[in-house]
This record gives sequence, structure tokens and C-alpha cells, in this order.
Amino acid sequence: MMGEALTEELQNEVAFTIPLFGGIPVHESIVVMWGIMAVIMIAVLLLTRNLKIVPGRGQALLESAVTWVNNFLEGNMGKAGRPYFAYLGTVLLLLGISNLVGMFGFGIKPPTKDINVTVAFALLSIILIEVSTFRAQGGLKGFLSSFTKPMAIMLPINIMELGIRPLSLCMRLFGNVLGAFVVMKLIEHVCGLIIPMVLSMYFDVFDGLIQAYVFVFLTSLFMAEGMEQHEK
Amino acid sequence: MLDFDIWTIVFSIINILVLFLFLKKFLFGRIQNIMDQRAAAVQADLDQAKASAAEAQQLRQQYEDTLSGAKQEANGIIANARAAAKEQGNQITQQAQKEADQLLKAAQKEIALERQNTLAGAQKEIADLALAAAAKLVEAKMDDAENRSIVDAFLTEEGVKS
Repeated sequence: MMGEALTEELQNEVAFTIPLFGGIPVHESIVVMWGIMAVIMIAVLLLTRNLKIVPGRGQALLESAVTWVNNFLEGNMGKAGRPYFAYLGTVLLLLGISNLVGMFGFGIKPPTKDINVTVAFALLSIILIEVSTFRAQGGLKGFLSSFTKPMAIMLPINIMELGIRPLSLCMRLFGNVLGAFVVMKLIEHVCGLIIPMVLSMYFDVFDGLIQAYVFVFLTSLFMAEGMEQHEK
Repeated sequence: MLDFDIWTIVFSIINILVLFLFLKKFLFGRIQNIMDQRAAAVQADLDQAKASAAEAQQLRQQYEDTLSGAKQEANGIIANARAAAKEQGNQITQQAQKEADQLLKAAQKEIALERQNTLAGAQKEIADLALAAAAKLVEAKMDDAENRSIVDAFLTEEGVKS
């Protein structure tokens, strides 16, 4: 009985279907993402509505959060990565909240439990990595020759990394969130209220935030590797 | 669980990109903008403070120059006044000395003249007296004019001796 319930929980249910092109299924995870986006957008609009040179407490917190993200990314990529900070910051925020949203209850499941969502994140990441490499290496020639760095023998490995990197990014995220989700569901089935809350602090909060951090950290690290200027 | 669904991937990508564009404009853009503005304001304040300090320094220098100039001028004036006073004092003293000398000389001269006059008068009277006495003694034995000159000569001799 528990197994059945768990299997049911693990399904990515279709929330509704758009009656176009013979029906486009919109999954639960997408609907939850929309909800998260709506909350983020409203919060951001409220918080950045009236920015001042001399900040109030809310603005100071917001600024220090943005500065923290910028410093974190600059530590990985240096100043060269500055154009990509906004995207990576967005991913960090969206992933962090997506991983945490399961603990609020109301039957909300984290969108990152759906592998299609993590595939989307990973695809955008690998595109960003290659685009930033392309731009930083100054065109096609530099981009292609970056596959032979640091030495020519690395060429097959570097080509394989085009697939391996997004795969590992999406699988790590998906696996961690799914694992935490399953473990938490099992614990909730077995015992009452207090113990799940304590363990939730680890599986949902800690692991969720760590995975969001790791995802962005690795993406920025791969970008930094690609953007690295090799001696001619 | 591992059911791949192209629509979910597409929707997710759209969601991420939409949120990225939104946050880029409304969160990162705005925050960066306000932080740049603040940096500019702080820089402006710093520049202004530096300029004010330089100006104050310049004013101080100017005041100090003025003050030392005034001090020098005052010293000059005092020295001049002192010299003038000394000069004037010397002049006055000298003039007084001169006047005193003149007065003394004049007085001496007058005294001498007086003395001479007195002597001459006395001489004359004595001569007259002597003459009269002699006339009384000798009666007409003596020519008046001749005898007078003799007595005169005698008295003059006597006066010179005395």
C-alpha cells in the first residue's frame, strides 16, 4: 500500500492539456514553476519598487544578496563572466526555490523532481558554456581549437564532455531532489510530525540549496574553463 | 519517473528564459544601477571633500601669509616710529644744548661787558676822584689835560695789574 502511494507520488501528472496541435500536455512541474515565477516576480517588483541611494533595511538585504551572488560568480569566473551573472543568478534563485518548495506541503512537489525540468536547465547550461567559450575564444577557430586544450590528446574527451557535462548536471540535480523526495515521503509514512521536520531540514533545505549551488557552481566553473585564455 | 516529455522541456526552457529576462531587467539591472549611482555619489562626495580640504588649506595659507605680512608691517612701523622718535629726541636735545650754549655765551658776554663798563666807570670816577684829590693837593700846578692823561695812564697800568 505504501509502495502504491509512493509510486503515485512519483508520477509527473499532467495538470491540464492545451487543446492545440492535438493537445499539449502541461505537467504539474510546469504549473508549480509558474507559481514560483509569479511569487518571485511579485516579490522582486515589490522589493525593487523604490530603490534609494541610501538603502532601507529591505533594500540593503536585497543588495547584499545580489552582491553575494555576484561575488560568488566572480570568484569562479572572474570579471570576464560578468555578462552571464544575471542568468546564473536567475538559475540559482529558481533552482533554490524549486528545490525547497516541496517542504511547504499542500501537495506541491518540487519541479526539479521532474527530469524534464532538470534537462531544460542542463541544456541551457551547456548552451551557455559553449556560447561563452565561443565568444571568449574569439570566433570559430578559437572555439574549435579550445577542444584541443590543454593538449591535443584531450580532443575526444573534450568532445565527449559536450554530452557528459549536461547529462551529469541534470542527473545530479534530478537524482538528489528525487532521492530527498522519496526519503521524505517514506519517513512521513513511517513516523509522525516532529522527526520528518528535523530530517526535512537536511533533505529539503540543506540538500536542496546545496544542489542549486552546485549546479550553478559547476556551470560557472565549466564556463570559466572555456573562457580561459590560452597562450598562443 | 523517467518519462521524457518534450513539452515539459520546452516549457521549462521558456520559463527559465522569461524569468531570466525579467530578473535581468527588474532585479539585477535595477540593483546594479542603484549601486552604480551610489558609487558615483560617494565618489562625488569624496571629490568634493577633497576639493573643500584643498580650498581650506589654501585659505589658511592665505591667512597665514596675510598675518605674517601684517606682523612684518607692524614691526616696520614700530621700528620707523622708534627711529623717528630717537631722531627727533636727538634733534631736540641738540637744539636745546645749542640754545643753552648760546644763552650761556650771551650771558658771559654781557657779564664781561657789564664788568668792563663797571670797571671803566669806576676807573673814570676814581680818576676824577684822584684828579680832584690831586688838584686839591697840587692846586693849579698841573695842567688839567696833561695831568689827566698821566693819571689815566697810571690808572690803566694799575687796572691792568689789578
